[in-house]
Amino acid sequence: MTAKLFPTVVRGGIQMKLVRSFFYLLGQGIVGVFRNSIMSTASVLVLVCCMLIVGTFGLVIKAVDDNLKKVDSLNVIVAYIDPSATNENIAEMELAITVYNPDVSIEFVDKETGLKKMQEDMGGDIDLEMYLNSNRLNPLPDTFEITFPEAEGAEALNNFVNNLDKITETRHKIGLVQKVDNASKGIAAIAAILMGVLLLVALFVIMNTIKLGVFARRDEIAVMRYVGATNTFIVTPFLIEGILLGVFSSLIAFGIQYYLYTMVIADIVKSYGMGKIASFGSIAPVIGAGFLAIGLFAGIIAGGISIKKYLKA
Amino acid sequence: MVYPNGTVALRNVNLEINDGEFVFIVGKSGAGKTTLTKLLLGEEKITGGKLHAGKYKLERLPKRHIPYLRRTLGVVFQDFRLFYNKTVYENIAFALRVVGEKPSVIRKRVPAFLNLVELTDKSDRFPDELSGGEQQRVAFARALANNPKMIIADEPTGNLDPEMSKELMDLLVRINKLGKTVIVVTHEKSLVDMYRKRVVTIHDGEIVSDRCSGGYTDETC
Repeated sequence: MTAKLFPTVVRGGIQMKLVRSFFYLLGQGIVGVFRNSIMSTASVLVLVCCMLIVGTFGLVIKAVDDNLKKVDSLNVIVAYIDPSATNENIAEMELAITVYNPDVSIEFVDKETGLKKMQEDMGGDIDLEMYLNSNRLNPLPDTFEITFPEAEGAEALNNFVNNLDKITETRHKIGLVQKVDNASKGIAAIAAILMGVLLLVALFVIMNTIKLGVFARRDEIAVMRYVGATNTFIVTPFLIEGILLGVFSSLIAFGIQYYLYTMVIADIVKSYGMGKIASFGSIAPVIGAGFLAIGLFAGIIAGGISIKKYLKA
Repeated sequence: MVYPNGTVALRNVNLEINDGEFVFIVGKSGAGKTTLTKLLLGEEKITGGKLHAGKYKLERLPKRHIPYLRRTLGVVFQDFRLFYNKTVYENIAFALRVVGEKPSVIRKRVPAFLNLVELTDKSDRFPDELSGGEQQRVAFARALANNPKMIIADEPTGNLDPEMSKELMDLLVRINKLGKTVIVVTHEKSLVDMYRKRVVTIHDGEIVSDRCSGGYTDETC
């Protein structure tokens, strides 16, 4: 009887025991998600909202940023060249600007090309034939179109160009560039604050969901401790529950974000003539990874905090 | 042993229990019996002196080792503490799952313990469908599942009628004959007298008597 009840054979290695325990605990975690289905649904909804706000704000900022600068040529200083400037003067000035800031790109636009561009900009139906055929009658000067990469330092660049000898004046939209930049930063800050608040709410809701599970199982946890369960064994189902809620939320948010981006944001951008936006495929990995990171972070933190006080010996 | 609020629960305790012994710990409520079981289970830490349970030195046992200490002890409580949403079989299997036991081992060992506690025909029942005595037998089977060296029973017959209490004590004697050390914490003197085992009496946190077989006139160990 003794031999049958209490065998002394070695029963599998530690790794195998861990694998067996893991699958058992994974099952327990899944059961936990469905045990409090209402609270689980609430957690997922809040987390999905949090992810969508972050994702949508991020995508809108990216679309606005990409297009405003591109479409309206905001990052350009147009420098008017004195008619008396020789080809050497022009080459010297171009070199001086490049030396001053190697990141800028400079395009020399002669007066004829400038006039053609103006004609195109005005819709092409204005008759400038007379001016185009006569260099003398063309009122436009030769210009440099200097494209700079960022608003920072643009003012100084403008001053430098303006002070060059054969430059009569410059035109630019640096103020607007800075406003767009500030607006983007403002939107990003609002998004960050909203994200922070929502993430806290999501954490709170997930914590409550898991705490309900912990509370319902407090006697079970006490017995688990008496039969020699380690803290890892006790905590893992709750962590898995949190992780599952997080991953599930990120999948739902990803699907909704796809719809929002391709149907709503793209539509708005197009209908307001704000240019093109990147395809969803090109930004999907970043969005997916971001959502998953938020989900995992919320799930693990909430699961860990909820069970902590039940881990005393 | 002094609790954080200053209550002295046990003092001048000098007690040695050998492998395979059957010991009753008796005393009134508040005498320190439960504190002694809590100390053995690592639930409380002694504040002075030494306490060894098998190879474990409890006065300096790190918290992370407590689960492994408990796997060498089987514990049974007055209120059974079963899982009421699990069947009898699952209740016993749970103790084996906690230590990551193979399903094939669980399938072999659980029926063996069900047989020991004579509940084979009730393995699919839920604890609510069993009598108090049967529930306590499930608790014993669960306590034994991990092959502990020692069984600690804290007032195991407290919720049972005299007939069931005797049945349960008979089971404990059988478990003891299987080579397990058995410690029974109780205040039922009639049971203690009936079984004529070693009896340690605690009063106000001190051991006031330690007799080799139950009864008031028996010789001191």
